[in-house]
Amino acid sequence: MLQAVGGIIAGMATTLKYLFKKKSTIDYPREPYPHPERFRGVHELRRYDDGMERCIGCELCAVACPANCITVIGAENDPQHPTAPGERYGYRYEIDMLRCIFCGYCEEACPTDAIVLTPRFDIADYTRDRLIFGKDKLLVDDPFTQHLANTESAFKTEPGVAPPPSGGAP
Amino acid sequence: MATFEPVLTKGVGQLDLTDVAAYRKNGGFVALEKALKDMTPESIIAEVTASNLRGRGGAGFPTGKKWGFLPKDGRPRYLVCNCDEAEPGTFKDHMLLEQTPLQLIEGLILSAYAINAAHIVVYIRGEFLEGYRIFMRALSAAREAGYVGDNLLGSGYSADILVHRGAGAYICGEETAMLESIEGKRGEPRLKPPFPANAGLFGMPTVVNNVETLCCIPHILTRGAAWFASIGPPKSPGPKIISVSGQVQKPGNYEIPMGLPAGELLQDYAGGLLPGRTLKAIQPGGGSSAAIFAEDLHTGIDYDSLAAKQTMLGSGGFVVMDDTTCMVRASMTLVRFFEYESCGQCTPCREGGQWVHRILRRLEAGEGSDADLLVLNTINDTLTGTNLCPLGDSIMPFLLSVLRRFPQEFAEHVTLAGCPFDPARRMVAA
Amino acid sequence: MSADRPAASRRMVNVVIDGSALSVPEGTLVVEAAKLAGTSVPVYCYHPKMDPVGLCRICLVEIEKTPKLQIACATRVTEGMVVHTSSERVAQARNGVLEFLLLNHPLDCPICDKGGECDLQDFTMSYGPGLSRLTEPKLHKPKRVDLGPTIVLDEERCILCRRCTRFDDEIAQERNLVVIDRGHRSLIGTSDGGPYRSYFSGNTTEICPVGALTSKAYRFRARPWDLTHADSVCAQCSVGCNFRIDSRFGRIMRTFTRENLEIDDGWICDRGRYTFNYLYEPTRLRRPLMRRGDDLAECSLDDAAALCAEKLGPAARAGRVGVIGGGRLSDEEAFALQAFARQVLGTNNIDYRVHLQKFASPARFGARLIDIDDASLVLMFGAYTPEQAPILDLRLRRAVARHHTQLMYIGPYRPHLPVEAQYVEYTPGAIADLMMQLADTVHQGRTESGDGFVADIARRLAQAEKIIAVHNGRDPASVSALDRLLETLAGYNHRVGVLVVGSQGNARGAEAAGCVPNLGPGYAPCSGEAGMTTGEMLKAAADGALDALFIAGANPALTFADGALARRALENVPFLAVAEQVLTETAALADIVFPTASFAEKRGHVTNLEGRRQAFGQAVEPPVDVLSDAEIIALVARAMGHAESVSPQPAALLAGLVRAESAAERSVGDLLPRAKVDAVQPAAVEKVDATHRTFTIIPVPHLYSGGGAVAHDPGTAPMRPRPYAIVNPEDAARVGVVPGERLTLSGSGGSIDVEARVGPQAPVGVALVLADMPEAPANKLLDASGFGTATISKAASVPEQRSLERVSA
Repeated sequence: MLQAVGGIIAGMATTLKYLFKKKSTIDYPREPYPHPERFRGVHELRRYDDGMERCIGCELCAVACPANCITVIGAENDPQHPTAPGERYGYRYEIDMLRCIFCGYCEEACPTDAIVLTPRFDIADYTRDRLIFGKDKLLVDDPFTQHLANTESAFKTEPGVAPPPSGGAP
Repeated sequence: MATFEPVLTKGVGQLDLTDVAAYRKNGGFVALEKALKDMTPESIIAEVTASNLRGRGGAGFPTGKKWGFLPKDGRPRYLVCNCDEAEPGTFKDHMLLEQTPLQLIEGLILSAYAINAAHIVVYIRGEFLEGYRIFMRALSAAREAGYVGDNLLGSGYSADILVHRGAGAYICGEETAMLESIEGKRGEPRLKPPFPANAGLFGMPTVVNNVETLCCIPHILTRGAAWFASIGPPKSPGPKIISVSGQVQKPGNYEIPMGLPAGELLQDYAGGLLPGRTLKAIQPGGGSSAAIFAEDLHTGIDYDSLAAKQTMLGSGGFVVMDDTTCMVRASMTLVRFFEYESCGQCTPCREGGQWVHRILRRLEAGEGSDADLLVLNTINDTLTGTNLCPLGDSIMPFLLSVLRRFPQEFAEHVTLAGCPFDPARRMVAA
Repeated sequence: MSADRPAASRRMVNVVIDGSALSVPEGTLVVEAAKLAGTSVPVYCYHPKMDPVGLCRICLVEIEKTPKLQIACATRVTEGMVVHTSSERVAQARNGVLEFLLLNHPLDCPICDKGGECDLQDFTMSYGPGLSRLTEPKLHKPKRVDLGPTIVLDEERCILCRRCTRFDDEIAQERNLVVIDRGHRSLIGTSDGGPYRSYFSGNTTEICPVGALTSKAYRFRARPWDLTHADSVCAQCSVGCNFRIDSRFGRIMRTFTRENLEIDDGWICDRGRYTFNYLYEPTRLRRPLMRRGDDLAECSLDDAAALCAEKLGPAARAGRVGVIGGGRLSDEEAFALQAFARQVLGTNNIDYRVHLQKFASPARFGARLIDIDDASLVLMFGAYTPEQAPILDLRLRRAVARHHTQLMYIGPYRPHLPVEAQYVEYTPGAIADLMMQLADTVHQGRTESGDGFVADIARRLAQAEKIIAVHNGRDPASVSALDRLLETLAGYNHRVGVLVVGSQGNARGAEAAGCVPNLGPGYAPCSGEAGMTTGEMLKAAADGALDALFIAGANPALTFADGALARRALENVPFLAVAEQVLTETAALADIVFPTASFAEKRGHVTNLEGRRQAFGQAVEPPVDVLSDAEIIALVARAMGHAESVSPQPAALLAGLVRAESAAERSVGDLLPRAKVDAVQPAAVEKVDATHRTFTIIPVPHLYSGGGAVAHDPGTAPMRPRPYAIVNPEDAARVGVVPGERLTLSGSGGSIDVEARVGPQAPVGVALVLADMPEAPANKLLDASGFGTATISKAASVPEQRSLERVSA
């Protein structure tokens, strides 16, 4: 009897002890799950500080992609109203998130640091179509809210100045 | 003062040699009359070959041999006179054209007779406007006097001279570029072979001779090959006009015997350096030649002696620089010239030239670095000897010779972040 | 110094290249010998088709016993030469040259169209320095320079190898592209500062070793590694140039040459290269159309086939049906079309000829294209190769410029020829007489003496060792006269040959496949009575003697000589079915229009003007409801209950064609006397009394004229001419024609509005009118002979073609 009561008390004590300890679970999705700084999640297409798109439509990310999940179609910029600095921009940019293995090779291949992987990972959805991300989902709206790339940007720009410079070493 | 009796420049400055009568009085047209009456073309070539006359345009190729290369296949032949003198520091042809145009005409007719040329073309540099006018006047005078035109002096030989003016390109002094220019094309050197002797102007056998070379011909025929060969060293004999410029007392054109030591030319002819200065470098053969220095003053001014000093006689532009001259600035000025004048065909000349110029400009402005000096020291391997024509090979010789001789001066431009010869800087230093 | 000297006559010499000994013909360039030895020497300025110039200096190699490095592209091998192409010195020189080339070359490889197939990239990776030692900013030059209607130039990327300028000079002989300025400031531009207009401009983008010259059609559309390649053959004209179609996501991105030394020599013309974007325009037919009152409405394929069967069946049973077409189809489809006519419709009323062309094959002495290369004299009449067969013309230009071939052009007006040519003004109907006179003169050996230009031409012919005649098979009388002339010349041991330039791309294939009223496949006589020719069919249709017409790949409303008759016939015939890619003038009059696949969307064979049958592959899939002509014919045949008569499969059709041809055992040789032709022969052009405003009308061809694909293609629109008429300055002064103003030409079949031009090429009393323009169909003014008369007056109103004017301005 006593033994049984003792067991209950011991159990309650343990319960009580953990009641006041810090919880190891989180209230996901109301509370965001913290990720390491260099976690590789959903992609983001970034802009220069002057609002120009960084993507030049060169397709090097698509070539680097081992899962073959990136499709890029380039087009010529309107010289009066350019979308990206230089002559060419990414007219279409699509990533099939269901295929993506989040290896980050696209990020490494990108010559303008346009495509970066953010720590965001929760992209569940009900149809496959909606998991093919186009520019509408990938491109950030405001250059100042975009995620900081894992790598330091190679081309810091002044607003209104057209990067990238064509100088330097080959 | 010098004791050499002038040959090519005899009477220059004393007589109006553009006048036929005065020129005759000065000994002119004797050779032409003699040759057309008594000599066969073969004997003229033999005489010129025996005289050992070497081309005065820069390459120093034996003239008689050049004439002998023409194929005997019955095609019409052309004689082209290269009067596109644009080498920095050279102004002898300029003087010969303006002062002794009849001597040039006599040389042209003699040479054309010797090689049996159907046509003679004189290519005069576009900037020589006065020389061109003088030459045209002399030409019509000579034509009136019967020295140019049909049936010369009753010999049955006919020759006329066509004058073609350049449009201001240094590269057109290169013989094949000149031929292109005469043909009405872009003045750019051709790929060789075929050489002009085989396929030159309009694809026909062509001889291209310098003004001074042609001016020597009448004298060789009048006074004999042996006399000519006796002047100066046997391998490069004859009188030579040297254009002395730079920091000397009396710059100007001087006619010297070949082989005259450089020091004698400097002292006896040009009057020596300016008071209180010391010699730093001399370009003995125009802008394309490497420098010689104070210890080389005993070197004879002739093709072989200078070649032994890794430089060249070239066209005979003798540029003297004393101790107040910045070598970086001097080489920058020269490289700028070659870079500007490059025709743009060959990659090393086109790209290398502008790169070297930019480096030197930066060094002179005090923005150079050690890496630049390294480039200057190593670029020669790919810049020189890899081009179609000699222009690309002319960019580096002077720069390299002074860079090897005065490395500390170049280094100083980096360490001082500026030119030590800059007057403003010198005042600060004082 | 010509690079294309025949190798056969040369002595062989022994050389050692990188340790491997080989024997090559004397005079071979070191760079070519190295290829034979299995090593490659990098080159930029060198191009095998052009004279070596030795500019880029990347090809420096070490030759033993020569102190300096030598350029492999201009040094010729000699006996015992020992060459090292990969020694330390060579590597250093290449490295140095690449460092120079890259100094100011921009780093926009990621967006450069050449990136991935760029010689500068490739050689830099193989031989170049890893880093540049340039520390200051690169020099900048103009980018995105609009060089002409087809090309954008990036001066910064240009490495000044001058392949483009030399192409324009040596190959095209047009001398328009030049280097401007000097040294590193050199730029590529045109000699007159205007746009670079050439029929061959696209080739410069291909030979450019870097991305300096890019084509507007392909600019930024794809990267090289995206592209799927398909080997194809151009069917825009009868030369049959080989090319490659590069596509991405099932859409054609660009076309690329595919060297065939015997046909195109590695070049294609801009019409062949750029005419593919019409496939993606809204004007491309993608659904079958059925006539509902005045309009054409979309319908299903089955409905269209059913209606076709319903209408064609009774007409065929009554023997009141005709089939026109074949010259723009593949060999297989032409075979299917004639099988459809003969076996399904039971008629011999089939004809491929919708232009003035009567024959596509030479009667005798058939020549090959390479015969032009060493011809001593080329006699051209009727055909005008600069506009009608540009790549053949390129060969001709080279022969004239390099091999001293004499070009003699006989025609009613003096055309603009880029090379030196002898022009003989002769009215078309009289050419037969001229040929006969020439044949007599040569035959009777009267070439040495005799005055007059007939004797002069005969003398030239007698002196020429090899004579090639080029014509368009239009006038049977002059063709038989030519035959006699050539026979005479051949009898005197001259080598002779004939090339017939087809009006349609596969005219010769259609002829061989049996699309002729009295000849079946393989030129075998067909069973039964000979059918009607195109002219007879149109006449019958106009007179109400035909109940149905089936037209596949032909546009008689625009191209048939007597335009008024063609239009009347097509409007009057009770049932008209047309298979077309775009809504042409003919298709617009149809009751049923089948959308058909283009050459890129099907596979098969085409036969070029020299009779060479070449296979072309399928590059892309056609839209869903779009079938190939063979499939359409098979579909209609099945709907008529004759499924077994026509197969839709190219392989089965080809097998049938080959079987029929081998059974026929007929050669082209005796074709001429037997093929049924229209009764109307080109008559001598009468010089109309020029005191009034009446002019003789001669239609002139243009590379970009035509009413089908090329009229709807945005890529070739900037090059497309506006309709014009050229009159002689004398006439212009007399009737008050000012260049540039609008004229109305009124003839028997209607009137057209054109732009006035004045030029000496038009003889007095003649107006040269641009042919085959849908905006102003010249055939409205012509009769069946291909000529006509019209009165010229000033146009009443401003022209409608505003947009076209802006494009070509």
